Amino acid sequence: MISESNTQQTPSLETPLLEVRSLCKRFPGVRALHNIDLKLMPGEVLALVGENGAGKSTLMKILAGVQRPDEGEILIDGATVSFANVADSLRHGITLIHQELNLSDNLSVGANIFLGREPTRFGLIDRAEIDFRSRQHLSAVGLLIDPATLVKDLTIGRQQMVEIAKALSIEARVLIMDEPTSSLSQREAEALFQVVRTLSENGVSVIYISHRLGEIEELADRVAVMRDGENAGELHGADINHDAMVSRMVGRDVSRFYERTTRGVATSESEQQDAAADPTPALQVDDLVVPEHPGHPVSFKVMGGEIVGVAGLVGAGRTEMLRCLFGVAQPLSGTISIDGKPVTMHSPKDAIAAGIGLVPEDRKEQGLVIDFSVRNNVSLASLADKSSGGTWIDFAAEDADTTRSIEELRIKTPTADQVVRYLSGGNQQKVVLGKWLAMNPKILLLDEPTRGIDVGAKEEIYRLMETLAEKGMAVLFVSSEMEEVIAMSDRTLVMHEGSLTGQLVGDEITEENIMNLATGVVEQ
Amino acid sequence: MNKVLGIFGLLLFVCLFTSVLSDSFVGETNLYNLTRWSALFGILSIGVAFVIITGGIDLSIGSVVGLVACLLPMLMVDFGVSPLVAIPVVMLVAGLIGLLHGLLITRLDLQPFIVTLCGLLFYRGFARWLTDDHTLGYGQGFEGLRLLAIGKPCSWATMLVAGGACLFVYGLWKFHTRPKTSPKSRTLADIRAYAEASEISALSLPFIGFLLALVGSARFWMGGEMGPSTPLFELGGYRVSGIGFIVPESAVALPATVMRYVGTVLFIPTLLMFLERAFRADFRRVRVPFLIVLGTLLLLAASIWQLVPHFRAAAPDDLWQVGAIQVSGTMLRVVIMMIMFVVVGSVIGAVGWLLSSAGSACQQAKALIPLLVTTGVMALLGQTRLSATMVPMPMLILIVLSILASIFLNRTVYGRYLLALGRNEEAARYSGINTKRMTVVAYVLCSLAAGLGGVLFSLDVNGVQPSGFGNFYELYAIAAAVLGGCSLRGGEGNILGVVIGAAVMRVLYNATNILGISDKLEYSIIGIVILAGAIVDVVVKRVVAKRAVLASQQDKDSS
Repeated sequence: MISESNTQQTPSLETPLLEVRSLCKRFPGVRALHNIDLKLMPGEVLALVGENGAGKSTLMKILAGVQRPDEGEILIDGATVSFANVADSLRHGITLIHQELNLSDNLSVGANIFLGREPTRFGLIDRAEIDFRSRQHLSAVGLLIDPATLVKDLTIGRQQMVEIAKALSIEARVLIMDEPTSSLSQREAEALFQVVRTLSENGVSVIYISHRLGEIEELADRVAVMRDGENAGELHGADINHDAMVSRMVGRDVSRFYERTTRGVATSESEQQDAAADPTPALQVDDLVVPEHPGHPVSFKVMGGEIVGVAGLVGAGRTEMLRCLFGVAQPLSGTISIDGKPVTMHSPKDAIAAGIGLVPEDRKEQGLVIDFSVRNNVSLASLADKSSGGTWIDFAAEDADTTRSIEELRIKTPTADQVVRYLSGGNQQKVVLGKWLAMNPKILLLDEPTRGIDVGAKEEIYRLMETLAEKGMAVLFVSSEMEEVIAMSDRTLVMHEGSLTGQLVGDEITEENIMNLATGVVEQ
Repeated sequence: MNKVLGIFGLLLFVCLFTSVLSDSFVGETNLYNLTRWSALFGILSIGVAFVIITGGIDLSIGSVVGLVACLLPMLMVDFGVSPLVAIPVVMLVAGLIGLLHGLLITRLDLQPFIVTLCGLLFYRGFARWLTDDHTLGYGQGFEGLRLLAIGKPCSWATMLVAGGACLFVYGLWKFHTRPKTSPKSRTLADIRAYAEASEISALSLPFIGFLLALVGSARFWMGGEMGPSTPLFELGGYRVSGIGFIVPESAVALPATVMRYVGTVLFIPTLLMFLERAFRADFRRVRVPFLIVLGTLLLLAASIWQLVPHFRAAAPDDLWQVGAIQVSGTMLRVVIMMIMFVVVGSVIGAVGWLLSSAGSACQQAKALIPLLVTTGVMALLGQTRLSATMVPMPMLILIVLSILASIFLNRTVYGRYLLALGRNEEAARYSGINTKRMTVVAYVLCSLAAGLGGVLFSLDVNGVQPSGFGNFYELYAIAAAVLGGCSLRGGEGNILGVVIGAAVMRVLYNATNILGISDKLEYSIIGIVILAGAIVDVVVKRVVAKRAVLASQQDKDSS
């Protein structure tokens, strides 16, 4: 464990405002937190960094009383406390501001600030009191607006300020902010930093979670790094810099991970240029602009038989890109070509007809009809193709496809007629893959294919991706799991805020290179 | 299948309850009217079932029925349009209404509730304006066409022969193509039980078919003769005739007796075999429900013997001495009715419990359930005058329609798409299904069914009042579909269940009339029974889900 020696140099006589000791939390099949220790001094701005899935969110949810830890203790002012629910945590002055704000759009600013704690007079809501006290809290965060304004009429940045004002109104001592600047403009972010500094001067402690390492350098007194649910070091004052944070975030043993038996076609830059001359790529994307990130055209190619990983942080525009490639969303501009022929896709139906399959991010909402049987899910996409006359279901073909999927993908299910809701996450994901296996597309897109599934099922999904690529399928997968991208991809595309910041081949695919490109520090 | 058995149990309950208390329920006239109206509402319910399967709702059915029912006599009587043109025209109007609903819902993303609620208001108002609120009818001129709604094409005996023969052939085909699977467990007893169970379930379908055909044709064997029966309908000078049995008056009651005897003779050995297999498989599990069934049957017999005669004898204004207190006849009737309600309900409930626990204890018993239920119901129907009544034409139409709808829903790609998009529209879209187009199709089918219903209803009553004709029909149809196993959340539905659901609605309505319950209470009673059905459904669903979770956990533990 990397621990900075100067932790002990600052002799702290005061007790920490908030302390966490060897906190553990498990979810079925996942160790979310393992022996986490954390201290927070009064008036301190502590930044918490780590990759997606490092356990930051779980830790914050435990502190906010949303979830309960399996082991370990939480101390406030040196005394052990336990939070049964959010109200308990609030009572101790801990407030969590979610990435997606928790305001009621249709109510006024004042009503939101006092939601659930409305001051009353003769049993009726005391509007004057709300107005008066709201103004106080709003001015504390530098927001000079009428408390009667409806929240939906405010910009996201101002809504964020309202959340903070709300936290102040309940006399928060610890303010936890989860990715507060993810949807703010530069100017709004600056204003937010100013408020955070003011709060800190007034003795409020802030836990600040962000992927934007630049703003952490600017803002944080101390940085705690998490990795795989464990403490991965701390940085103080002048030691806080980008490289130090990244190296602690990613420094992990990759060798234990899945080993590919084969490697796909394009492995080096020169070979890739050869490839450009030779057969047309299975998928070619030119200057594609997704609606969510206007002004960031994306271009790349995927050859048949190649596995291409797309890395990047959450919100980098990867899912949006896949949605455009599958016809779910319409790109603003740009062309998509399959086997050299440009195609326009107005719906997934068109995409499937063009030979594209998508294993979507949200398995339960998009990938599966969760109350259908394994059989009916596997056949759903290929039903019309294999029917006679496009009308009569071919039950024999459906049966054959289902049996094949269950055998080839080793789907653990009592019968083919089991409702997929009752299967484990990994087996559910295999059913989604089985659906595309029955279709046999030319191009397979996968969005976070192994999210929330156990290690064994992960390996089988990797094995399948490999087999499909060997058969000549072009595989493009989006993943936030670094080791997965490194282990699986022949080529890695890295995205940052809607644009493609780089392309890594072979030995260049390292955690550090990916992280640098993904945080937008370097651009190729 | 369980769901269909459940709603069938409800139908059986309401029928049994009513027929115990009143003889006129199972009389010829009542049964004929009951089946005719059930069929008419069944047609509407099949339509709305498609919309409910997509997760939508159609509130405009009653108004579409009213509009079509007004348009048809208007065109034919006032404008002298030939029925060959008028009927397609009104069906086209209904289809376009459905198309409009579907397009508004899918293209503009309006809520089905709003769109069809506005439809409900608009079509009603439009029909009233069009007709100036005058009552319309066909007069005497279209008797041949009206046979479509009021005709009696054949007797139930003929239906039994035809249906039995179809079932027999279908059953043999199923038997021939049945999958050859083997049991998971390898013990000799298990293999033997599995073999027996699969034999029973494969053979019971053709056997039931044979049985029905045999009973139905009893008249023929015992001195009837084949020949043309009443005309099916007449359309534009063409006359379509049905074929049936012409029966001498003396033989009319015969099939009922035959049915009763054949049913009973087969029911008893089936029951014994069922109980024997179940008891041998799991004595402890079956014992309690078995004893409770016996107990409730005794209770039923006792109350039929002791209470029912009082019920029938009680005149509303009489005063009756019960022990030390005096009650009015009305009060006595209400009390007896409530007691019988509970008694008959507990008999049906106990039988259901016995069937399900025996079925889950032992495969052979489970395989015997269809045969057991058929023979049991045959024995019961033998007690009624059903076999002497004629099949109403709408029933024939409903049977054809429900077979077509079942095939559409279960055997075609489009039916599967409807079910998929009803469960999860997004996943369906991600699987390449044109969900919007399929939704439109559902609304068109629904309005077409409403249009057909409107044609038949209007031919049936021959006097359409634009202001009220078809009012609330959508609610009957929706209730029937929900009772029949369609979840309003979408994605679930079974045509047979829906048809039985429609029958339950009519029987309930009929029962309130026959039992002399104030017709002011009609809606309340229907409401309560549907609510009870929904509650039972939710409870059963929870139990099933719990069992499934437990089973999957056991699977995990054992693997």
